[in-house]
Order: sequence, then structure tokens, then C-alpha cells
Amino acid sequence: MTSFDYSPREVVRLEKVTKKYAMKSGDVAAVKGLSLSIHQGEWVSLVGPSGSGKSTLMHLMGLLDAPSEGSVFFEGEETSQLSDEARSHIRGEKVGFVFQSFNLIPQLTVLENVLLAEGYRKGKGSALIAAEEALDQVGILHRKDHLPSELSGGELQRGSIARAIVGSPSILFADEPTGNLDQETGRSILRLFDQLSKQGTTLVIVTHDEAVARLSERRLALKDGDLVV
Amino acid sequence: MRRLKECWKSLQVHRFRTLLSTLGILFGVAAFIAMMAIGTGAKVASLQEIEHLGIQNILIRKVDSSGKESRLPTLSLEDAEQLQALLGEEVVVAPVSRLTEVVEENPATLLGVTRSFFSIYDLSLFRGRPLSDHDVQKKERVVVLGSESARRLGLKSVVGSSLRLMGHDFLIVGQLGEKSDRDPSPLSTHSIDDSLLFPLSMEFFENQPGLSEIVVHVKDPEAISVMALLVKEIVERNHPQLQGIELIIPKELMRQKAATHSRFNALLASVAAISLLVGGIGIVNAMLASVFERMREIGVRRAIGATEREIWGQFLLEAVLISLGGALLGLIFGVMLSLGIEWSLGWKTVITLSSLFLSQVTALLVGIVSGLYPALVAARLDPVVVLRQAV
Repeated sequence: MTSFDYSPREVVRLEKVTKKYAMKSGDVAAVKGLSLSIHQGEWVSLVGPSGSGKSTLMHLMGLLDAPSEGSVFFEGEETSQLSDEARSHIRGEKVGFVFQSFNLIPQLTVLENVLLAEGYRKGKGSALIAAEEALDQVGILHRKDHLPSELSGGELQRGSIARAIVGSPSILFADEPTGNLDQETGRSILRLFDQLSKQGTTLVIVTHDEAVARLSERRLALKDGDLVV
Repeated sequence: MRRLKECWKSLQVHRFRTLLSTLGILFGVAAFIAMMAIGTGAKVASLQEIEHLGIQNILIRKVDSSGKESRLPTLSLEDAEQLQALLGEEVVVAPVSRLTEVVEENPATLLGVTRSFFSIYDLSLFRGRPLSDHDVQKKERVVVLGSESARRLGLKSVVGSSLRLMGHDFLIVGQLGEKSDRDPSPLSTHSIDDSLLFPLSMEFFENQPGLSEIVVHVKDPEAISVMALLVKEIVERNHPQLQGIELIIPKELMRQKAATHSRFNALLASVAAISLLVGGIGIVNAMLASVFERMREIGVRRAIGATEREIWGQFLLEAVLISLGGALLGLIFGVMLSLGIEWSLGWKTVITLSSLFLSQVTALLVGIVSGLYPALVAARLDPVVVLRQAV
């Protein structure tokens, strides 16, 4: 039997990252000098109490926000000094977001919501085929022409996941993806994440739920903007 | 195309608000088109009226509104003869005398004219013949009826029959053609179609204190200005400082009227532009409300890769769609409104292609300018902040 020294590619790396917000009483640091790496194919959960900096950390890693100090590397590229437009392009190409409240745009059908993400990509290619494949992967292709108001909570979250995975992003961030769902529907969504993880998708899930965190390969706990593991 | 469809769907979410914003532009564009049509119509009508006086004519009129007439030298046949003699072949001079008399129980205008009057105003005859030099020289008791006068007099107006007036019988020798656009004019002291035309040498005209009007027809249109100066100089010899005399040069009047109407049109267009501006404010209002209601959508779009420029473009496109919709509907409504005004009020309206084009371009500009600020607000929203607020 031959053994391989397999070293997965680094998707995101944070070096001494601090994020401060200006408040009336002075600057408040939501993330304090934090360093970490997320590798390709990993399933990482971010846990911690409210206000611990989980969402801020997710926004920094997903290039929605820029750090006040330190560096954020995305697939080896330092992004802290990139323009808003350049970071938007990286998000469109390589990052997927799933939100607690689904956030499908109400006036657009499920398919149009998924196509929306494809529309912001540079190399658009056959957008319709990609969108339908994503909907098929999450199991709601038959609901593609429905408006979000006509869908159940589980279907809405599946639509949201389809929008996030269309175009095969390098990393998928999910912020409390089961927070607004009943237990059974929540479990079906977690099974979908498990399936995506097994297919090689890099996952970062922000959660309060320790049961959800236990499903991940790596658990990062935050308290007052710092890692506590 | 997909973006356009997305914008259309977004506008449909708040149909009533979109409709109200569209109405603002619709009424602005309609008002613009209607006002321009009324302004241009008034200009055309006014210029036509002046043109009816004869664009190649110079009118010398007795001013009879002051009551001091009797003390002033009045226009005389000698004035007319002097003008013809001094200006020569370049002009045709037609002296006109006018009085009002009851004919067949109706007040009628009696015009004392010569043969030249017919040629200057290019009067066509429905029946019979015009007045001749012989009629004037021999003081023949003949009359030519205006078309309206002929209608009023009924059967008695048949050419060849007689008309009794002031104790004399007058032979009807001609009848003018149907009422044409030459007449009447508010600037004209006489309405030819409503008149009875007699030889100027009839005694009831000779008993009048002078002529009512002398028409100087200039054969070369280019020479009007020069001739007007000469006419003024000649008339001033007998009537110092033109006391009791009015000199009307229709061509000059047209120029002045055109300038006045251009200013009037500019004023109307400005008023209509204010309506469009109000429509624009409506768009700003609606678009700002839309931005604040759709903050979550903006955050999601930014999260999945939309750049600030794309968000800006999307909201700007929505504003432009509202204004374009309003502009196109306003164009239809504006044309209908203009036609309705002409039909119901009898005002002449003229819709020009330039006013239609200008209304559409202005509405489009209003849409762009109105959409700029809300689009900028939308683009500048911090996705992290709006997503956090939206949860």
C-alpha cells in the first residue's frame, strides 16, 4: 500500500486580524488579533454566544468586510487592500452565503434567485443549466418557477443553498442555517450540508447549536472576539 | 435583458407607488406637449392673421379712437394719388373708405374701393365681375357683394338684380367667392366677406371726412422695408409726426409677433418643465422608499457578488423605466389633450415633432437625474450593516 502526503489547499487564511467598529463611546473590537486557516474540503463550525464575533469573522473570511488590522488571504491572495469591486468579484466567483432568514428576493422566482448569483459572475457561461443543476442538487428543481412566498421554510433554505452553490464556489458560509427551521427540516438541511461536504465543498457554519457543531470536522469557539479552543 | 426583467418585477412589487410616480411624469410630459402645442398654435394663428393683412402690404390708417379726429388732417384721395405717383410702378395703391349703414334691416359695412383693391387682396368672384375703373370714374351705381352679405340678403342678391340703398337703386354686378381664410382679421378694420363693395366715388363716401385706409401693395417683397420708409416720409409731409395716422407694416408686425411668441413659448415650456420637475421629485421619493424597503435585497445582492456600480445601475434603471413609461404615456395623453383643447375650446394647437422629441428627452433626463441620488444611496449601503439589520 502506498501512502500519500496529502496537503489540502488553503482557501482562507487570517493573520492577526482585528475588526473594530467606531461607537460613540469609542472603538469596539469585534475580532481581536485572530489568526486561522480554512482548508479545501473542511467543514468548520464557528460557535460562541451572541456578540462573540462569529458573524463578523464570517464576513471577514467571506470578503464582505475588510479588517481594521491584519491580513486576510483568499486562495493565497492578500485581499485587505483590494477595492470593493475586486472583493465583489471574488465573492461572486468563489464565495457562497446562506443566511438564517433565507433572504430569497421575494419578487423573483426560485430559479431567478439562483440565476441572480450567476448573473454577477464574470464568466457566465450557460447560467440556466448551472442554476437548474444547483436546484436539482438541493432537491427543489420542481419548484423552480415558484415565488418564495409559495415555498415552505425548508424549501426556502434549499433555494438559498442552491443560490450559494451555483457555480461551485471555493467556500460556502452559512449563518445559523437551521435557526429558523423546525427540527426535522433542520436535520434535512444538515444532511444536505453533509452531502455537500462529502462532495468536497468547503463549509463554514456559524451556529449556536452544539449539535450542529458536532457534525463538523473542526470546531472554532469564539468569546469576546477571540478564539477560546 | 434579465436585468431589465428584474427591474420590471421590482417596480411591480409596489404597483400603486410606481403608478403614482409614472403619473407625475405623465402629466408633466402631457402638460409640456399641450402647452407647446397651444403656444405654437397661437403663434401660427397670430402670424396668419397678420399675413391676411397682406405680407406685401403697407397699411396707412386713420386713427379714429381719440375723438380729436376732426381737428386733424385726415387721409385723403390726394394722399393715395401722391403715393402712387411718387412710388411709381413698384407699388399698387388702393384707397378705402368705410361706413356702416342699415341694409335690409341689418347693419352692413359699406366699402368704397377701386379696382386695385380687388387685385391687392386677390378677391375671387363667385358670380359676375369686380368693380372697374369705369365704375369709379363714371360713378356708376353698382355694387359687389361679399359672400356673407350675399347670403344675408338672400334671393335679392342675385347678380343683375338691384339693391335699394339710401334712396338709390344699385345694380349688383358681382358676388365674392365663399368666405376664405383671408378674412376677417382682428387687425383689419373691415371684414370683406361681410361688406358691400361700392365704387369709391359714390357720394356717400365723398361726404365722409377722408379715407379710412390706404393700402400700399409692394410688388417686390424684398423692398418692403425700404418702401415703408418712403411711405412714412411721403405721408409725413401732409401729416406731420403722423398725427391721427397709423402705419402698419404686416411684415414688421410678423417679426415682432414671432419674437413675442418665442418668449411666450419659452415661458410655457418653463411652466411645463416645472411640472416635470415635480414628477422628478416624485421619482426620487418613490426610489428612496424602495431603497430603504429593499435593504435586505441589496445586502444579499452585494453578498453574492454585485458591485456598488451594479447596484447603482439597477436602481438607476428602475428610475429611468418609470420616467420612460410616464414619458410615452404622457406623449399619447399630451397629443390627445392638445386635440381635445382645439376641439372643445376652438384654440388652434400645433403639435410639432420637436416638442414631442424635447418632451421625451426632458423626461428621460428627469428620470436619470431623479434616479441618481437614490441609486447612490443604494450603492453606498454597507452590506454587512444591512444584512445584520435584516436578520
